[in-house]
Amino acid sequence: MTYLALDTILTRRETRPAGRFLSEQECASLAKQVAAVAVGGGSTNVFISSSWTGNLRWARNMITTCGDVRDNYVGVDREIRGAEGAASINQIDQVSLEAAVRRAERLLIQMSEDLESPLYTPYTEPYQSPKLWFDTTYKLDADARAAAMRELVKPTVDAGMLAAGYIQVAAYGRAAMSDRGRAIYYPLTQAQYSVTVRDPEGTASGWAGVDWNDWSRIDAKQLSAIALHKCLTSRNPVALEPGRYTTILEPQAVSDLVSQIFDDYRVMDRRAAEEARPPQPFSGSKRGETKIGEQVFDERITISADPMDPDLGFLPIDVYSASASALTVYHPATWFENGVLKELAYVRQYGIEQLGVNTGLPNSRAFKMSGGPTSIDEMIATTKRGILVTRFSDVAVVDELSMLCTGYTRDGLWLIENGKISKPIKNFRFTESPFFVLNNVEQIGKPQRVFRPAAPAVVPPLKVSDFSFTSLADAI
Amino acid sequence: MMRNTYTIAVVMICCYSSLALAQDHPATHSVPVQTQAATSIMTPHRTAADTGRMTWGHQDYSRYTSADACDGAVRDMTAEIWRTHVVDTLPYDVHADTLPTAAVTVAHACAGHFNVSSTNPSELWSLLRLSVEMGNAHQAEQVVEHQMSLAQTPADKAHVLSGAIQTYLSAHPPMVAQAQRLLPQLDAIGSAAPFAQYGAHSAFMHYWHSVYNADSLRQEAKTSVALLKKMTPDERDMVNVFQPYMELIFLASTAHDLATQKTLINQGLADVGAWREGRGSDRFLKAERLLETQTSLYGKATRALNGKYWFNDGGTPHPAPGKVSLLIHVDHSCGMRCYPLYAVIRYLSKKYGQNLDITLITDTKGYAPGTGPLLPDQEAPQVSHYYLDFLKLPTALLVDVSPTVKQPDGHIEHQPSPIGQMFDEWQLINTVLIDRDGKIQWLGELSSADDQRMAEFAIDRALGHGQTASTTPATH
Repeated sequence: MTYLALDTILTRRETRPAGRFLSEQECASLAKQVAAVAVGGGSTNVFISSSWTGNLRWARNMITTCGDVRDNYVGVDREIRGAEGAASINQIDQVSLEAAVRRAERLLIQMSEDLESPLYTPYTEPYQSPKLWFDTTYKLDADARAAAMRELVKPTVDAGMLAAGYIQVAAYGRAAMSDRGRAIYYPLTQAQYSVTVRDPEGTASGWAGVDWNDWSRIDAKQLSAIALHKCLTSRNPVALEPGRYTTILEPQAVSDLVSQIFDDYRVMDRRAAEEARPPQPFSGSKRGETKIGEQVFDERITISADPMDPDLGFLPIDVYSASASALTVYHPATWFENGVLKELAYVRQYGIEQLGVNTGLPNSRAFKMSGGPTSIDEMIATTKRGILVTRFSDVAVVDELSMLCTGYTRDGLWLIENGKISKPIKNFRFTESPFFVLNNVEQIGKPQRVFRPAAPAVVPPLKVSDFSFTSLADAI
Repeated sequence: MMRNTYTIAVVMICCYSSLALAQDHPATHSVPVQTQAATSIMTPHRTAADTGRMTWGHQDYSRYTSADACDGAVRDMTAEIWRTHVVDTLPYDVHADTLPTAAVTVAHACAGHFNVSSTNPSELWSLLRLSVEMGNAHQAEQVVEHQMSLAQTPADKAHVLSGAIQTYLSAHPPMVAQAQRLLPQLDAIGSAAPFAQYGAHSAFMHYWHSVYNADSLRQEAKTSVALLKKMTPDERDMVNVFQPYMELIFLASTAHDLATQKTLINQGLADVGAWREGRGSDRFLKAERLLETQTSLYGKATRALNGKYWFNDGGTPHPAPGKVSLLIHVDHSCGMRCYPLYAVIRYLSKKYGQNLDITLITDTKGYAPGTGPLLPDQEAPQVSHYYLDFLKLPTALLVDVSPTVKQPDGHIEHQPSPIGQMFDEWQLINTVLIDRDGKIQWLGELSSADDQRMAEFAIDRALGHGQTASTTPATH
């Protein structure tokens, strides 16, 4: 995709529904409005995230909240002779915008000029154009959400259980626009559904959830049924001795753990790994080197991220981290291929300077893991004694170098004996590293989209050996 | 060779200043602006109606009642003024050079709100620094006098005196007389405060180096070494133990007294080895390498440099036969950090005119300011434009092609060119002086006005002008 001039945008026909969030032309008009009040020359760069969010929340089988939220984030970046000052605001009236510009300019005069920042690379980097807009999401209004909820809750009520859930649909217009003639506008929709079902006695809990850009791809009915089933089959759990077990991790559990690798930018950052101050998980044996090219995971593990992937699909730019001199553009990346570390993330400046390439390879935090042929049922059937995990919660990294994590199992945990689920068990605290897990893979299932609204993930279920559960957790 | 005296001074001064982040006062019109810079202090009293008519340089500073707030804002800006040598006290003009002028305005406004009789150490240090930066010696002396009256113990007094001396010497231009008046008082405190004394003597050492006063520099270096030996291990860990030895080596090198250099290095290795295993020794190994480079290159005959990409060379070979020539290796990715070096180059060019042939040598990097990756054919003209047209340096320029090798991990590794190999890959020196007979007469690192005197000394000697050590401050 190419960048357009503001004036070009203003003369084009509007292609997206307007009203609930700022359209492309409205963003361009706002950018011109901001640039018009700037004083002192230089450039004015405007970064916009305009959003509409519709939600419906219920608890104990009853709707608790239903609302529409509209918001605008306007980041103003003023640049004069390489010095930059930035301010952001959520009001778009003339006085407020001028105040933001003034604030950015007041900050600017405290900054160092940099007349020829060696790699001042204005955002001319090509970007991909995935389909992220879906009318099915945008049209799910409050009535439709409420109707869906009634249908989703009915089986739970019939079973005498209690459901709490959340539907959210959203539409965004994300823009990065400069008075120097470079502008990008990207509209997208997002939808998410999650539901928890508990028994009235408070001994069992079942959960299911997923997010997509397209509401029509969310089978809320099936997710509700899964949550109900998990709840019903995990009532009255028994305590099991903590220890290392063969463990089947459902996709959500795999995501909860593997996400840690991508959520801390330092872990996948090439410069951080090379500088090794402090050493990062993918730092090489000596400073300046990385583990790129080394086998770090089981050879069946490939992890990639491509904005154009129809199963993953994510915004190819990040307006929140944008500045006058840089715009984060996400490109297809294969981080791990057959267990070998292939790439670490870097910014465009690093790419030009160190690698002789014209683009950066930033970490979008989205990821897709390769799969295998084994279903969860087959994994269970081939397990003599093990544990089935629905998901993890409160996952935190306790050792950055080994990525040792801790957290709790939640919403459904069962003991497997002789190829069958034998009984529900009480939750555990676990202490385990995703690196260990990805090196102890026994079986891999089919990847599927999981619940990760902050950045999408497509992951398979895994059966791994010697997963470490360290203590019982008194929670359901 | 790197000099860290300023670093020491900053560290010591920081001990007295809380360096609290500047306060941010809300604007009166209550617009919810969220800034992205934590150092904002500049929110003038202003109404919504006049934001659009704000006139830079006429801001209301009445809210700047915090010394820390002002100091934090002014420090970087004043540093910027001196670093870029754009000293400008005209009112702020939005259409002209603006940032340094704004800094001066802020400094004056801030200083007016400080209290000379405050008992807050942080405020007093801030006021001293501002007074010195603005050349207000009388006010600075008042502050120091007041600080001394508050100091209770000999150690307290030593810290005040040391910090004041370092502050005086870091002024632009340095307030040498004021610093010299305080030094005897500090030395009279005796052995109670070697750390504080070292800070002051180290600052003087740096100053004498900058004006190339060899006798005073030698004396201060020796004093500093003696004080190092009196410090506790913890104190020594906080300072650059390497510095005084490097100064002594530098002095010896200008006299071509290699035997003295070797003696000093051996002595230094013994001292530092006893204090800090590993780290200090590494530095001295570097010094040894520098010595080897100097030893091997002094007096060596040079020929005309071979290169494909010559600019502004007048069609004649460089270094010019029969002329005193200066080869200066520059890095075109250095940006504004190298402005002080360029100022020295302009100064030397103007001072010596046709008597001195100056050639800049820069290596290809695979990119140029603002763009990349580039092949040498593309890079060379861009680099030429940068040095000769944009920076307007009046020299010949050779863009030396640095062969590259692609590493397995994707890194572009630059190999030394034949010219780079000739000068030890420019790792420890960037300047080579060649006499009329084509023989190398002096090597060193030229990076700022601090090194200007030593370069002049060497050039004058090569020209046969003769020059003795001087206490005249360097100017350009």
